[in-house]
Amino acid sequence: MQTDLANRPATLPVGTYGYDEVDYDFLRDRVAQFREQVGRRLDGSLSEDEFKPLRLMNGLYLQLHAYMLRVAIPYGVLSSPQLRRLAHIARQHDRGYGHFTTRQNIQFNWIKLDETPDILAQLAEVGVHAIQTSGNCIRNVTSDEFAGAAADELIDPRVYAEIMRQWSTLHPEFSFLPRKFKIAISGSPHDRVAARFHDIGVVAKPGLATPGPGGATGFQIFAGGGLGRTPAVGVEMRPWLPEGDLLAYLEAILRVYNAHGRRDNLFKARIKILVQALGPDAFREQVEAEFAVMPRERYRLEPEIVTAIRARFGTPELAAHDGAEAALREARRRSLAFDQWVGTNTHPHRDPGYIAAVISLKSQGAVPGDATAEQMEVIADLADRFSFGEIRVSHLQNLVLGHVRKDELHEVWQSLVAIGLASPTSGLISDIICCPGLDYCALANARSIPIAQRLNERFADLGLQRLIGPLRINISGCINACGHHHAGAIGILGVDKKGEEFYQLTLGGSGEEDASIGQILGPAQSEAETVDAVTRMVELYLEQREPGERFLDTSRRLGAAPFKEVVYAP
Amino acid sequence: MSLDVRNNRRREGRSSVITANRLRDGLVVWLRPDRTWSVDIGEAEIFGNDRIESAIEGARIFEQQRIVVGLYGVEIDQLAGRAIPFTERERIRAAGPTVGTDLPPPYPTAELRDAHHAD
Repeated sequence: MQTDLANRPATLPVGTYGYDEVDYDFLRDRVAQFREQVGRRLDGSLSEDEFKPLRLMNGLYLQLHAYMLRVAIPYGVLSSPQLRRLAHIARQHDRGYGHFTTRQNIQFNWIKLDETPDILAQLAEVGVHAIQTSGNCIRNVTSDEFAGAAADELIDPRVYAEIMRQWSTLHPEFSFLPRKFKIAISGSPHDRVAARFHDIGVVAKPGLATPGPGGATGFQIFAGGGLGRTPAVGVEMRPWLPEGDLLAYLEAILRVYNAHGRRDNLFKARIKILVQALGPDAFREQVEAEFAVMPRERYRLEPEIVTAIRARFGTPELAAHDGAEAALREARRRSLAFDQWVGTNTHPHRDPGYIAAVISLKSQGAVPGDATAEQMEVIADLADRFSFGEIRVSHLQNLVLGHVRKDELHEVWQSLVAIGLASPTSGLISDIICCPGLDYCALANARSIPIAQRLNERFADLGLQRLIGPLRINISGCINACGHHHAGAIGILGVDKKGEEFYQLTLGGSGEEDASIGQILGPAQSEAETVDAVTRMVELYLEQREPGERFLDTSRRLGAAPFKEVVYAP
Repeated sequence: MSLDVRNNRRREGRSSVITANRLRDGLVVWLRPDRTWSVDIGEAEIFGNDRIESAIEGARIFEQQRIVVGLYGVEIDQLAGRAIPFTERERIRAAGPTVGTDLPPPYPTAELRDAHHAD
């Protein structure tokens, strides 16, 4: 862990950790190592069985049509040079676009093996890599897309996300876990990271005894959550863990999992299965026992380390003038389309002169989460002009400019309109989470993108979308649940029946602080039947909702029975 | 249904073709009668299911020569003499993604054919 303040870069990027030469040397060494491994594969020194785990450790999968490279975006934050470099990779080495994922990463679908070392070298130049984006290790730590900006945030979680990233990167004890391991951290009471659906979920909080700036920081810890074949809401391990014990406690959880997690059955290898098998109390006792005997001083996260890591982040110099709010109000009054976009696609900022803007990657006809190289470049330019050169990726597969001055928001919107990314639908029914599905993924059972597009067409009318209000539809092309279908108010799961695609509906899931797993409504149906069934579910909601109720609220009040009835209506 | 089952349908009286991914660029390829590889399933050699396992074993040489990776057999129907994979998965794998089709192909067709002949 680099804590040398004197060695930090002269210009620090806002929102991302500033690499120094030690960090860059590490990445260059890693690229050289992989270049040599690729060479040995191509000259026959390595068999595919020998090479596969090596390429996976560098994020390179062999998917349905070609190699796919998954690039890590730590806690979902990019600098504008990094986004431009991703655009360059998309244009020069892929088909001109990239796909932002539910784990805040980006995937390129058409990569060539022999070009991959060059791609990784180009990424390393801007401090980006693909390490631990695959394999049975601790994956990219995800966080809140409004971190450091949100008005409701209590603690900026990114410093701790970076600490966990450094702790987990090439951790020798946790490089061969029973299965992959995902950690998410939030610093807001409103859970925007699905903390309770992660192997470990961390919610950073100010100390109860000394609340507010300068007070002690601690963490609420959840473990054993997950989606996939056996969805589970994580159990609370600690309501309050002091900052100094963060790494020791995480290490204790991972040690218990590493020792007792199942390695004999791929489908039962995640930590959630261990927590369920032991029971939450017994699992917690084992973790606490491990924690109690650990040499805590060795693992203590000292305040000096936190300060040093924090010092490697640039901070935005917020300086809105007094008229910013009035200027935004006037711009909204003059343009209905802008007003509607502001209504859905912004989030309150901690500074009253600023606002966070959501760039929807869910426009009509688009592939959810895809962005072209040109769009990435325009967004990087917008970030430079209006948001301190910083871009965030949300687990909802949208992009965010975190710090936009309110009087400049209209100009941002106009630029987004020009590149087709100003869809005013964030959080509405067409803001669908969708995995790549059978169009790209070797594991998928059914396509997910086309059904997202059919639903997007069905509910294309913006007035109808606003009438329906907040509604999360999540679609996965297989039981691995990369599209988080269990956590959708309406979830759609693709299944294979004798080589053909069918879709199963779930109801009532949520990935937020009221986390719940969607209930399966019944047998799978065809794509057309599924789109019609979702339509009838929405119609039922509109008929039955009470004032102020979201779809999720109404479904919880009514229960599954009436929805099941309309889904399977003749 | 596991991939092993999905990718190894061998019903009596039916036919299959042999597929893999090309090692260097990962693209989906199909084994031709002249034992070269094509990106067009329409050029693939069609084997009766009673011969497909031995044909797959015979094609393993191309994995050893590092031309392809992940070789297996795909059961098909035939329509106007053209191989149509039985499963949706393999139909998509043969034809490419059903979305984002306005995107350009990775190489010009002529270049592809030249590359195959070089194989």
